[in-house]
Amino acid sequence: MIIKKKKFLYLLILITIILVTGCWENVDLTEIGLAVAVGLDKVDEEIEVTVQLVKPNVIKAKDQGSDEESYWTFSKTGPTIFSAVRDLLLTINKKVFFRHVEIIVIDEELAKEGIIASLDFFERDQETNRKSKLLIAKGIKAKKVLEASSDLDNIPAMHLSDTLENSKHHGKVVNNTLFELLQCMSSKGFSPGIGVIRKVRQDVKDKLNIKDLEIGGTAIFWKDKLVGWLSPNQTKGYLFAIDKIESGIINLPNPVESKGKVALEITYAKAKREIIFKNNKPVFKIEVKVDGRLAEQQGSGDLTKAEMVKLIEKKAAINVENRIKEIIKLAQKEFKSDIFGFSNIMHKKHLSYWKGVEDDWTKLFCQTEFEVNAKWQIKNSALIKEPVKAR
Amino acid sequence: MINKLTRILKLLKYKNENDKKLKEEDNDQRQIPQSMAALRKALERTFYDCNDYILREIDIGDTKEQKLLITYLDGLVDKKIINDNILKPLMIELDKIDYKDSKNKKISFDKIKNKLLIVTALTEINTYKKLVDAVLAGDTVIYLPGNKRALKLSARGGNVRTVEEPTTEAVIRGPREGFTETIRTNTSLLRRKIKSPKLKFENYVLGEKTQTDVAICYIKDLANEDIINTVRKRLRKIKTDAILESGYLEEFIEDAPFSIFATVSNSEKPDIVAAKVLEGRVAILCDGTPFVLTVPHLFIETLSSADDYYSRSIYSTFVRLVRFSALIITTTLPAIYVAMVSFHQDIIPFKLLLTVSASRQGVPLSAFSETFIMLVAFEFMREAGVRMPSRFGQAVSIVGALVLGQSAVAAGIASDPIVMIVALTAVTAFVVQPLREAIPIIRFINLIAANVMGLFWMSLVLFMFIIHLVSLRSFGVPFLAPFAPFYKSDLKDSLIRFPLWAMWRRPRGLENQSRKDNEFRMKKDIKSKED
Repeated sequence: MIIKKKKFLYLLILITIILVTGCWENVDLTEIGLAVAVGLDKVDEEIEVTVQLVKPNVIKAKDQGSDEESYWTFSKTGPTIFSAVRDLLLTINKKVFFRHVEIIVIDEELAKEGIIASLDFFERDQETNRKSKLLIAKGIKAKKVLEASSDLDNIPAMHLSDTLENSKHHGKVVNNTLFELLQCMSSKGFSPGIGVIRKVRQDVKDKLNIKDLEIGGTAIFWKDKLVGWLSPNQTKGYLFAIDKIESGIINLPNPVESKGKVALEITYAKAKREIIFKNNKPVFKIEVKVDGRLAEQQGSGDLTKAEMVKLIEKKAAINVENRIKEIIKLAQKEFKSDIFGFSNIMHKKHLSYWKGVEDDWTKLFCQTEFEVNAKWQIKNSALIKEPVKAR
Repeated sequence: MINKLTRILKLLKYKNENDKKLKEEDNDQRQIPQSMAALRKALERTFYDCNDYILREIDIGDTKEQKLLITYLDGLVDKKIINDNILKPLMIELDKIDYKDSKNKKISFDKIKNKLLIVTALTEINTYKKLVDAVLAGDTVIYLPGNKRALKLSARGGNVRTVEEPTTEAVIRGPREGFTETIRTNTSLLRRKIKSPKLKFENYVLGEKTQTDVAICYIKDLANEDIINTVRKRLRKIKTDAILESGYLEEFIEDAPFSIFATVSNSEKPDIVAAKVLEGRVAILCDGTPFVLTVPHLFIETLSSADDYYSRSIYSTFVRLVRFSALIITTTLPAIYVAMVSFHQDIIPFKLLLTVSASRQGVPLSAFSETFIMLVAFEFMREAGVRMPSRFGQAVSIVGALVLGQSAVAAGIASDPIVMIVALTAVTAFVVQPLREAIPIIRFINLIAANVMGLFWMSLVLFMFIIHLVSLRSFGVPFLAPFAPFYKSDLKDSLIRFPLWAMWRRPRGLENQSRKDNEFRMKKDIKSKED
């Protein structure tokens, strides 16, 4: 007993020692250049790496009313990312530190060729941040995105990162970290989506501001190659299906007064994906259970009556079902990519069947039937029951 | 090298002992001479050139045949007692009563002892050495020629400090009295708290030259006999010239002399010592200092204060946790800062990193040198604060606050965070007073380790300290009890404090095997009687 305890203690000490080992060298904070965002572009068969560095002393000086920009972007081109990163040091006086990279922006063209090649560096190197978020730049160079200034935040990368984080309020963009993405991609047949950043004002040519950009929508992949896009609204349906939606708004016509609209806020959503077999053929089943509340009402009528609630619940459920079905159609017909991760479920639950279809998964996915079921439950109508009647 | 040193020390020790033996032989057993002249001559030789030495011959009775010798050291005695209770009866009131022996009309030794002297503490002594020791200790000696013995009268007095509130261990609630420099006052303070004949004081006289009174104090049948014996043994082993303060004793009797952690605790407050004695500890009182030692000393005592037992238990628990976190912060915070800034920039939250980085820009020193310099500066200030006369206090605080804090930042020598970190480290260091001697050392070792290899070495160093703590013993009791070894019932009075009535068992680490009343505290169930 005592010996066992001792061994356990030694083990504990050993584990702790291994876990806490950090970086070897003693580098002072003032000797590193903090990179907060990295942009990857394709330029003449080479990769252009753009980094956004922070100038901490300028941020401090801004409190005292300095007008200097507190970030600095710089690019270098090279055949590999690592060589380009090293070449940055030909110009930058500090060691570029990637541990606090908040966001990685990948150019559309590079994504079409496959993103694993570009992400390998960020996975392999010990000085990168696996929690950094990913964005695909649609119709704009990643370099331009990084150069865009922000009026709201001293650091544009933080602005982008926080905006992407907002997806939990509207559900219109996929928010994936590097780690999550690599984890999904490494499983066979599963091709997850990545959030999209695009330009909304085409007239601005020279210096961009983040208000000319918008984060919304999804870039769809087959394996690691970009094959298509989902609009921000379609993304909502996609997020419903993969159980990633946290909140968002669904608009429905007012059942009492058809001119008006009703907004429902999602407060809780749970999606269950499973595979059932009918006549020895797999059927993909998506069951969504949503809790929501009446968040806005145009037009009159007491919608909190039981039969009204039932009616709205039913309509909302159909709305969700339709959204999901739309995505399924796109995935099967247009993208030909398993964006829901049914391959994972097949692998885990039906291993023997999986082994037979493993190599032809995409083909099977495109032909398989889907069953979509949605259930809504309206929990409350916020603070009031019906709108004020103007008399 | 250490081996060599210890060998030399041992040799020196034996040499001293041999020398002393030679001297003691002729002094120790010498009888008190029977004739007045001989004794006078001997005493005058012993106290040659001591101008505080008083020796007086007086005539007693109406004949001039019989003389009496009275001797003491001026300043150590209460002159009023000597005048009123010793000289007056011998010189004046002797005439009023029938004192004469019927035969030779001389007054006898016994009559003086039993009838004449109005002094309570009175003992006979029979060797010359004892006579000299009694005089040196502040007693008065009376000698009647023709006898082989003399009388030792306790009439000690002179200027001593009265019982005052101690300045070192301040409490919000609790007794205000503190020990003084006089051992007799100190024992009385303890006796007043524990009115039991089982409270024992054993006397020792230590120090060849100082002849310091040392007393060990314990409660019979409650204190572990092994611990008492260890204390006795270690006290007897002491051979030294002088014991000026209990710190001298501490160095002689402690378990780990080279450890940075003290294994003997000290206190200036009778209530703390009484509480510890009541738990089964042994107190060692030393004449000439208000600091009383208690052994065994455990780590957990450093985190507790007398206040804890006088305030509500929930609050005490909170305060103890505060003290513990202060201990962690004061020993590790500068090291963690250096490790994070120099090695693990990735674990600093991004926004904090920006702030730290911004304030570090333009500072010419590395994080380590900056921290080190500021910490050393603080140590200088602390030491200056203790040593300097209080009139300079203002000057030092201005220099400390303005020059070392604000100006260092304004001049770009130090960064903002480091001023805050050093300030926090300094403040928290004062929270855990009993460990004040160990804390700076742990802090600096941690700091250096953090600069060499970041958190990795820092945690190694912390492990080393913990291993050292676990291996420490204080008079046979493991230093880290009740955590290692684990005593479940003792945890009630560790980082948390249960209500007094819930701590019904005496501390297990100090337990006396033969003791029956280990359950010593509880709320009596008197309900049945009321019914």
